[in-house]
Amino acid sequence: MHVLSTTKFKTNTLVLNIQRPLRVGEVTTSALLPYVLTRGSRQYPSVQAMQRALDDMYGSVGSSDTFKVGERHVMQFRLTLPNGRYLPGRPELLREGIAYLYQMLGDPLMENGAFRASFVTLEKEALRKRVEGIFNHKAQYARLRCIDAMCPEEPYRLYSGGRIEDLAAITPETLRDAYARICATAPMDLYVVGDVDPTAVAEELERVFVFEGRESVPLDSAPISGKVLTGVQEVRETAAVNQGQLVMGYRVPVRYGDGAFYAMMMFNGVLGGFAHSKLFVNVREKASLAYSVRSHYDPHKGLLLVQAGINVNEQARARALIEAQFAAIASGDVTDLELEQTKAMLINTYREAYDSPGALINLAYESCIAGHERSIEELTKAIPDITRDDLRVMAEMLRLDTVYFLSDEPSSVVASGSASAVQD
Amino acid sequence: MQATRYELIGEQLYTETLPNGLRVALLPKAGYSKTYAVFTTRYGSVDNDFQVDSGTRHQVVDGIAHFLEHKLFEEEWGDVFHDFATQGASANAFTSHDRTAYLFSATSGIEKNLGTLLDFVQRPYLTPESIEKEKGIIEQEIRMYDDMPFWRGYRHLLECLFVASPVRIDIAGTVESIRRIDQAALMECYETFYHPSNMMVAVVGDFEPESIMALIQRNQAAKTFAPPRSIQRFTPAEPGTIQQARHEIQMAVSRPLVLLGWKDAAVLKESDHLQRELCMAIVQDVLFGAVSPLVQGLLDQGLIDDAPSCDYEIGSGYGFSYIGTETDDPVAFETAIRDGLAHALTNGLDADDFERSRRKQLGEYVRGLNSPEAIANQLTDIGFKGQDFFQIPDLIATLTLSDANSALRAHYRLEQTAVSIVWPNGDAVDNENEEEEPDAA
Repeated sequence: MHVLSTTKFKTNTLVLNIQRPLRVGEVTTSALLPYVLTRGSRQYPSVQAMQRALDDMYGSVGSSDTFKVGERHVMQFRLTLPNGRYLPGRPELLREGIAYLYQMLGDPLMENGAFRASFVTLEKEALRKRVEGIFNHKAQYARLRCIDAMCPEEPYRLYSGGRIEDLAAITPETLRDAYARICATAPMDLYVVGDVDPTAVAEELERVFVFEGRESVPLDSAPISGKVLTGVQEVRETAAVNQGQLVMGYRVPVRYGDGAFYAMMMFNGVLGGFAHSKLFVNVREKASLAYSVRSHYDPHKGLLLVQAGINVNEQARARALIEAQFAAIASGDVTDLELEQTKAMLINTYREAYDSPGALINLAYESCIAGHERSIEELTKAIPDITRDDLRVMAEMLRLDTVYFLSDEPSSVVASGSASAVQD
Repeated sequence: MQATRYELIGEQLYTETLPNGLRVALLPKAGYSKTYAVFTTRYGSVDNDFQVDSGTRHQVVDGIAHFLEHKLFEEEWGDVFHDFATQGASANAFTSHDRTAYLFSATSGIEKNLGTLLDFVQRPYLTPESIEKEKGIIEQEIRMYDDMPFWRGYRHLLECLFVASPVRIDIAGTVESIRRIDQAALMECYETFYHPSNMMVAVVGDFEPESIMALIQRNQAAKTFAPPRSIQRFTPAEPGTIQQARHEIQMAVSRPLVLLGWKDAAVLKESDHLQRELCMAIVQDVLFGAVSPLVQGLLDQGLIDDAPSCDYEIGSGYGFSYIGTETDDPVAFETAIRDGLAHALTNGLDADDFERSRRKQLGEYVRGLNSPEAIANQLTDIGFKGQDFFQIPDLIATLTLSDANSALRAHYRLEQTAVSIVWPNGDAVDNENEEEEPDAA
């Protein structure tokens, strides 16, 4: 249980995170459970009843979903309540809110000793549609397809929303058993942020959140998986699109808990994290090739993805320009101004997290999963010391793994081992 | 500088109108790390036909307000994003139907960043070369939107609903229209709509309001502006009938997407917009929210997987709403919504539902006060219409069931429903590298 008492916000935020390993046999069950649980509870047995209870708490917002942190799968249940002191009549909502959060996951609607069958059927179908619907968001689709191609043997390729091929085997009974195991042993972290009395809120949470015979079992701290690169993999897909989506996936041997973590954050910032970064300046502003072009570093897995929306016939030019930005950093071609700007922007981004209950909670939880405490204070201290030499070292460690391109032009598969192929 | 204290919600707002006509609103938020500032002109995509004083009447190319927004970031010495980055600020801008807003958020160097914001917007630097270059970038922005099914369905819905209002035109224009944009037209729009008297600056964060106000005053006093001129905006009369009852397209999507839309039959005066928006939020929540029996029925049948998305927007000469969702059976969804609306139009809203939703709007308002961005943007949006964002709790408190029912009946006319559908075009993704369906990405 983690409580942050602050008068800054006009809300009280409650978040419960449940941690699971990311693995084939479990991912779809974990992805489905939050939806089945919040479709209706024993006390509020329908979507309508769940929503009505929220509306009665002055439009509080409850939601749940799953995401992955590296190769961990997290089920998250969130509740945001307006602080009653800013409402006419000053209603007390926190106690009701805690009871509601418990209804979201602790008191499911059961039928014949298992989850209500109609809920399971409908939510399985909804999950299938959500997974198929990724295709409707072309940038996200391209990103996920690139990861899929990069990590065929690694759990990281699993989409946090589940897999369609697993749905047939899931029944109200298998779901009930998985739920019972999770309640009994899965690591759970409960966060409260708001103008609350920490002792009183802790007492109330302990009173309400009771799981019989529960004993939390920490997950195996298995090392994050990896692979040996044998060349650059080229993947092309076609669909009826107006814009090509280019995604270049790199392997990064620097993770969240590593000493070089901040240098890698800086590398990503100089390369493509911001509007002053090399990718934005050179691919967008100078070459007019893209509107959206950026890089994203996932320190929990050790991947860096560069993504650009470009004309379908500009793939070669865009790719060459993107690779030229890596080469520039590798050769030390980074100005003092670029370093200064990136440091200022990274520090700003982290400081802004202080103003969002959700961002504060996520930062704390990431540290908790990675087993390495990172704080905003630490970051703002470490960042200013990073040099262009540090970035050069980072650039040398990166390996291009996969180039993915989605366009409307049917084309043959391009063979691996092109000019930019890298041996690892 | 005028200070207004709002006791219940615990906020104090500082406002002033400067001699050049610029309106300023400052809201100190104790304990916040970041300050958010937004500098907005009352000029958006619908302002495409105008005249200044007794000058020439201008009818401008689609997408020009948005194009100008992109181009103002350019300075003689380069891109102003770099100045903000050096000062640790995250900057951006957006163009809507009736506003263009320039903004930053920062946790340090607030005064310097605020100066940069005011200066770059008030110092256009356009060259033919940079205008040409921007066309390639905006073309990619338009193509990105063209691949977004919801946006496509939404734009087609507005084309169906509106016969004359420029709200039916895409904010970014088209790949063809932006090619016709030149320096003279951009400057004409700039000089017309970027006069301080047509603009407002709102700042929210942990600062001393006196010093921020003084900075803005000094910044503005150091610049010369032409005397304010009167802008006449020609807003075509929108008939009560719709352009087209339905529009259907095919796209690379996994399942159909359907939007139903309606438009206000009568044009409301600006001072009534806020009340109408609040009423419509309640009406849409009661009829189409997750709490409604109609939506529960659709969920139970598996026709939808989540509550549909809804919105209502009102501006100069237009007001419209939509309800939209992905569904395997757009026709069944459409029928259910029409039936539900017919029932509501006959019976009005239930009194308990109205009360519950009214309370909910109050709570949502208080939740929104966590967000400097939401506060500053709404202060501006509502302020432009002569209303006060902080009066919203009082306004909600005075709404009656009969107000909500009047809005319901004034807005929804079943015989004037427009429907926009995006169908999958059947060409499934062609995976050359793997045999799996593109599911478990």
